Amino acid sequence: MEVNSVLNKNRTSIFHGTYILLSTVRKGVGPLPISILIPCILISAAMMLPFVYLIMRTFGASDLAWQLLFRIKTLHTLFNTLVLIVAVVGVSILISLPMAWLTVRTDLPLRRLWSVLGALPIVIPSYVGAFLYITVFGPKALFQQLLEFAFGVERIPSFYGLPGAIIVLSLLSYPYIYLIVRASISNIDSSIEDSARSLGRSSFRTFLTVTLPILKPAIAAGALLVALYVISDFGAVSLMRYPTFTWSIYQQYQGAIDRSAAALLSTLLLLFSVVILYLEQKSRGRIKYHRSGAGIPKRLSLMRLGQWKWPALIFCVLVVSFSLLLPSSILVYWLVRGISNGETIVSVWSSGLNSIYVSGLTAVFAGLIAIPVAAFIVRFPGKVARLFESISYVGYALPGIVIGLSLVFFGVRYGGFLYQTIWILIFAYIVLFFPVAMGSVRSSFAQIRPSYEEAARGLGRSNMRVMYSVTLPLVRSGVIVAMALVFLITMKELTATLVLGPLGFKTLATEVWSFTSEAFFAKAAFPALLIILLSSIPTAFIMYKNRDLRL
Amino acid sequence: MNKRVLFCDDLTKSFGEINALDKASIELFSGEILAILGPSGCGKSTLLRAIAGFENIDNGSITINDKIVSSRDVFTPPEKRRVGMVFQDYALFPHLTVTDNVAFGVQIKSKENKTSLVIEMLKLVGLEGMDSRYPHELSGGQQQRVAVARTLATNPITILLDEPFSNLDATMRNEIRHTVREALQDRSVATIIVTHDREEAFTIADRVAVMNAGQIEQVDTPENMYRSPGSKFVASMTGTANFLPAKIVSNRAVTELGKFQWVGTSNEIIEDDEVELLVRPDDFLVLPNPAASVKVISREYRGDSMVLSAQLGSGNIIQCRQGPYSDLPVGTSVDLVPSRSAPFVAF
Repeated sequence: MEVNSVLNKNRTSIFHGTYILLSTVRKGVGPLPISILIPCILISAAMMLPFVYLIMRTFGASDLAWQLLFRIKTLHTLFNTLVLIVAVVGVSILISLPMAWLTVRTDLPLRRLWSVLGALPIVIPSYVGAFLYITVFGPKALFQQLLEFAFGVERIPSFYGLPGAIIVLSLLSYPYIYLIVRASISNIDSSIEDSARSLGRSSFRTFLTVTLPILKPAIAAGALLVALYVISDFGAVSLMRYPTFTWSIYQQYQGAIDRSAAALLSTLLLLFSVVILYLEQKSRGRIKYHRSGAGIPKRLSLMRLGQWKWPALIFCVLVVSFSLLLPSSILVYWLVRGISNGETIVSVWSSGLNSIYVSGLTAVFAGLIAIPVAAFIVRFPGKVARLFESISYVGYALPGIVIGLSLVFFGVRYGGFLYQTIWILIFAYIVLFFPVAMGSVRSSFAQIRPSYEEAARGLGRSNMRVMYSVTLPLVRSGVIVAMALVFLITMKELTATLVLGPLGFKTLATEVWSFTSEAFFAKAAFPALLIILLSSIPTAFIMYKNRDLRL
Repeated sequence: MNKRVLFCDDLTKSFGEINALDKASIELFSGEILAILGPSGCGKSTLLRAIAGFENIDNGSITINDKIVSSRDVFTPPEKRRVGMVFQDYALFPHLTVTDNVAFGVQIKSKENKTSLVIEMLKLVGLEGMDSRYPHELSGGQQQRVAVARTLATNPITILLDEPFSNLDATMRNEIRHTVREALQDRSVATIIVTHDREEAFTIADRVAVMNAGQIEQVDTPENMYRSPGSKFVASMTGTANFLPAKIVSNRAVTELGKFQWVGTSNEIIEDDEVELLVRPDDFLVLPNPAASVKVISREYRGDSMVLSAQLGSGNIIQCRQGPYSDLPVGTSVDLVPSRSAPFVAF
């Protein structure tokens, strides 16, 4: 549920065009080829491993662990997490909805600029964002120094805890909703709104009664991603000292001798994610949200802002300033301080290479194994395909900490030579980010008409040769996008890396983390910048490739 | 004479270089169905959107029930016009059931009255029992009728239908068209239907307006439109039209097929003028004659008729409709014998 999974989460409206296409294209039905089925079974089994093992551990938990679970503190943590989720989702919707509307449907000046800048905070990892905001708004930090200097203000309300966590997470995760809602808004047929007008509703009432309900599934899909982001976030909440579930699991794991308490908490967290996924599914009901007729979509008419132009502009400026300009300029500030303290890029050289290495391997593996599974789901729809599909989404429901811990337990007991190697870490990454890879690969499979393959068969090629000569070249760009996505997400991953990384193995993410948790902000600036730069390259590539974004 | 409910006076609207509307004028009277017929790009959709209030106009004025709703200085928003628009893609609200779609624009407060109105409307368009379905659970024809019911339920002064039947397959089109026409007549609401399909315009409308390049070329009943079109364009829009060169001699039109009575569309035709006569496919009988210079060059079998293309000595081609059992092969030499008693229209 990291970064641009937004773009590829298949079930969201962003790809509903593909969905319609999928339903009109005749499915290639034939005998199940063993050469695809067997890899799919193996991959699905592997994906289920952390999940199944965690459940097993839960049943084998000690009595003490169960007692720990039923403490009032657990309830408190649950409550904390819930409050944070609701608040962050709420604030994110309040930011992203107007932002999306303004950049798609109005004559806002510099519309394109705002639409790109609005999406960019997605490349800032939460722990980087959190440390940057802390160094501005924390006690005795830049903002207060400024106030003290200018107005003699000596105390400002504490930034730590809930308010800080809400602000940081909202400002960094609103792009998930923004991107999906944007795509959905540009898909709305304006004849639907025109209809409402000619049936006697004013433009404001039309927005409330027609446009907003149509956007509901997009908002829900985005909210789901934000909620999962909040659940799985570790960096920001721990820097903000706001005890959520993920954080207390980590504490439990670090501090206690009996680790089965951590396993129990993880299972609870897993259930939590599943409930959220279920609620989002449920909210869709039987309504379908694509255009009902077969007519030609009308071009979207741009609304004239008129006197609202200035408030709208101020809104965009504020959002972009706080979510993007402020963090990046503070980052530059710390970078400059770091350099003047003698920090160089050399000091993060090895962890940078580590990051690129594990992210690269994860990206390649995840992209490759997505091919047979996606091929199966698209070409042989049915019960088996649905099972594979649900299994491939398991990573969405498992926060990094949960997968990490489950594999730690597994590794300690059975892993042997794999435990404490990067391979078990890479495996965790793959389980975590497989849904992201699947989204992109799957939709590119769905766009290939079976008639291409059938034509090639008709021209005398064997099944396998058709796969190599026709199908794979056509899905190649989807696979590359998938790899780029997985690469940039893995780059930022912190929790599983902390838990599963071999002793002494450092990535850029863990570097930033360990420096910031000890308040060496100037030292953290270099690796943080590197993460952002390295993940910006694939992001730019994806934005270029993915026309659905219409940025 | 019925009351005039809509008057478009010299409407002009341009998009950049393109004049979508170029002094287009049209009147609509209460209870009538008017079809606007024209090729794509002639401005008919723009005209509809201007009447509904989705486009403003550069010049001219639109009057609904004696009140100006659009002009250079006046613009009434769409929701205040009581003009119901049915879109080509129906634009049903995907998140609402059939009932809620139909009830969407109804201003009645009482819930019971509202429900009974919705039921009445659904019955009118033959969709009883579909009330709790969602739009995607309906066929194209059903969606279309929901869209009509939804608009009728608001009791509009006039209804505009934009290519209403173009998304339906041919087998359903006739039936739906019939249902919709009856529903519209039942409510006796003044209606404008925009279409590029001649048959559709003729079967559904009381009057037809042919539109070309942003202007209304002619408004008339379907019969008059077909029999005495005012221009070659209208002649072609309203049916298969062949043009036979002729010269006016002694007040007769002299052609290579003989001398005919003619009637002008304007008074400008005088003796010795070179003109063209409009020939419809039913105007000539085709009789085999080995000595004739006219030859059958192609046959087009349409099931209920056979259309023969006959090439005259001059090279001109006249299409003639025959019965479905006509078995004259290609290459037959034939005589074309006029079967028309009315004078030919000359341009």
